[in-house]
Amino acid sequence: MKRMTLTLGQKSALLSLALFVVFLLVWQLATQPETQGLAADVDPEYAALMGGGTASSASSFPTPVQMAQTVWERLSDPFYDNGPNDKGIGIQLAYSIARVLAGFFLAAAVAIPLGFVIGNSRVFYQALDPYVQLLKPISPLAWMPLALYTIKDASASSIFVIFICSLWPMLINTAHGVANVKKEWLDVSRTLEVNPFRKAFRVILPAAAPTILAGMRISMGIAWLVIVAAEMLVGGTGIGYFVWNEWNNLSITNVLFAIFMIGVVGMVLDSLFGLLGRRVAYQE
Amino acid sequence: MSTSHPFLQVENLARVYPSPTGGDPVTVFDHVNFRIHKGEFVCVTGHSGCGKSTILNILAGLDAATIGNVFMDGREVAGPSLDRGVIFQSHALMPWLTVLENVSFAVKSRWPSRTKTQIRDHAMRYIELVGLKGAEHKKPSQLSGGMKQRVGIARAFSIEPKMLLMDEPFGALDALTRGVIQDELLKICAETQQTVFMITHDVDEAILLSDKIMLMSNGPHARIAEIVNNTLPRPRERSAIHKHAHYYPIRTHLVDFLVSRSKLFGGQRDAPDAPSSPSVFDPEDMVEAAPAEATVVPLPQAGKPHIHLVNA
Ligand SMILES: Nc1ncnc2c1ncn2[C@@H]1O[C@H](COP(=O)(O)OP(=O)(O)OP(=O)(O)O)[C@@H](O)[C@H]1O
Ligand SMILES: [Mg+2]
Repeated sequence: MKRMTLTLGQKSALLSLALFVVFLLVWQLATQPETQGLAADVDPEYAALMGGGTASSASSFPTPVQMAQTVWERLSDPFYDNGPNDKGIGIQLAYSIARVLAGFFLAAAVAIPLGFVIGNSRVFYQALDPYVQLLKPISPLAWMPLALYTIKDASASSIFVIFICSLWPMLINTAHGVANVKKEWLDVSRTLEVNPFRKAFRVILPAAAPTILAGMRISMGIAWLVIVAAEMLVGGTGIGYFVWNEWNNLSITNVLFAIFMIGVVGMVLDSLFGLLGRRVAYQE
Repeated sequence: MSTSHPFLQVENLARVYPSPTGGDPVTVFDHVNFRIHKGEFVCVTGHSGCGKSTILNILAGLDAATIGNVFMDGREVAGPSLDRGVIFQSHALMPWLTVLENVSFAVKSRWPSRTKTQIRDHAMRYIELVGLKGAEHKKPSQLSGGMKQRVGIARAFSIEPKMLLMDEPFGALDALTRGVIQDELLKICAETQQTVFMITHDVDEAILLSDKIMLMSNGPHARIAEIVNNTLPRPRERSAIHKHAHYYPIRTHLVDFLVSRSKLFGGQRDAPDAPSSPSVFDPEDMVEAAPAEATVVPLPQAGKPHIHLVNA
């Protein structure tokens, strides 16, 4: 009399799948042409739509199958380049990712050493705190006109905006992590006469690494949110520009596709940092 | 008192903290004087808050005295040094390093020019010494409390310091584990002739391990009120020491101090700032104990009270 029992993972996978089916069903019901009533009867309808779908309803919301078809088409040729307004999704994403990484690592190169100094010194901490508090709540896009005026280059300006928005979480987390390194570990290194350089890299950095990485993860999340808006503003290339361009083309299907891809890339970036975070995590 | 040049000399030490409420500053302890000779194992005990850890931190160089000086080996202690190994109450292991890496970190600090294998071998020797062979690749979080404390001991011994400072190293352990590690410590110290300054709240631990037990009165204005010479012969066996004639007199003396006499000093005295010398208790001074062994020779002071004052 053995009853089949499901593990937690199997249960949640099943539930996820069920939610997806429900989502598709609702989507289908909401978008299918009025003539049809039941999901089971729509197959011939699709066949008709597949032929002339784009012509008959360029601005209308796609059905799941139309959507799947677009996703498939676009993903099977991601790197074509037919001029400024028609590039593959892979190229557009690559532009955005490159800008995000450039701005992000520039910010890391500034924020982590500076955070180290601030976290180690109460004087620096208190001296810089008012500036951080003032600058932190400014929307990164508010810097855009200033950046365009001074840098005079659209792409560099969006990198600058990414830099600014990635800076604060990394700076604050690094300072916090460094300031909160346990006194006993510092006492150990003092009694062992560890030199400052070795102390910074072998004691303080590993001790603060989980907090620093948490800050980097937040920064990366914000950077990926901001790049879409920044590229919508400055135009030219990138996934943000793609979304805006497709909206101007009234291609809701492509906009949806872009939204989906933004989500996927954001998820991948986040889980990369999650993985890194797990590698430096320690249990006390 | 031995006439040889003391290895560690503490002179007129005092530590004053500013009052947290903005009133008069608080003198935790003052007029603290004592000496430790090479190879001596000294325990300090006293009530919570009397300033034991503060004294240890000053000896380690991690804290500075308000008044007074500490000399080790003829040189003034001005900061932390590899000459003094510290075993922290909270073991203070780095949780991101394995057992071997924790000990190696100390070894590398002591001998920066050694090769990787030399450092590893040296660290492994001390890991084996504390009975942790086989666990060297574990992280501290995978170890029991007793094992962590042993890593702390291995780390402190591995740098071969001239002196060991221990702040209640076994306070957090259960009685059984504590016994095992005490035995190991006894063995290692006998082998290495280590000079040790150890804080403990455990009277039996002090009797088992020490040559001298310093008793601190309650703060503020705490002092080293009494020094007890632990005359139990070595090597000592946990299961046998209580059979020795000096065991119960020493134990009773220590417990009596903690229960009643510790209150009679410090702030409660008439003149809290008056310098004072600790009284020395030596069980050999007693005849009431009527020692069974032939080794105990009745001293001239026979018949005097248990405690007599001397200039320390
Ligand atoms: N940073 C500080 N500022 C003010 N007072 C302090 C500070 N550190 C310690 N004290 C005071 O100094 C006294 C001695 O502290 P210490 O930690 O040396 O005591 P202890 O004898 O080790 O006690 P325990 O047995 O509980 O460990 C305490 O009364 C404490 O309140
Ligand atoms: Mg203490």
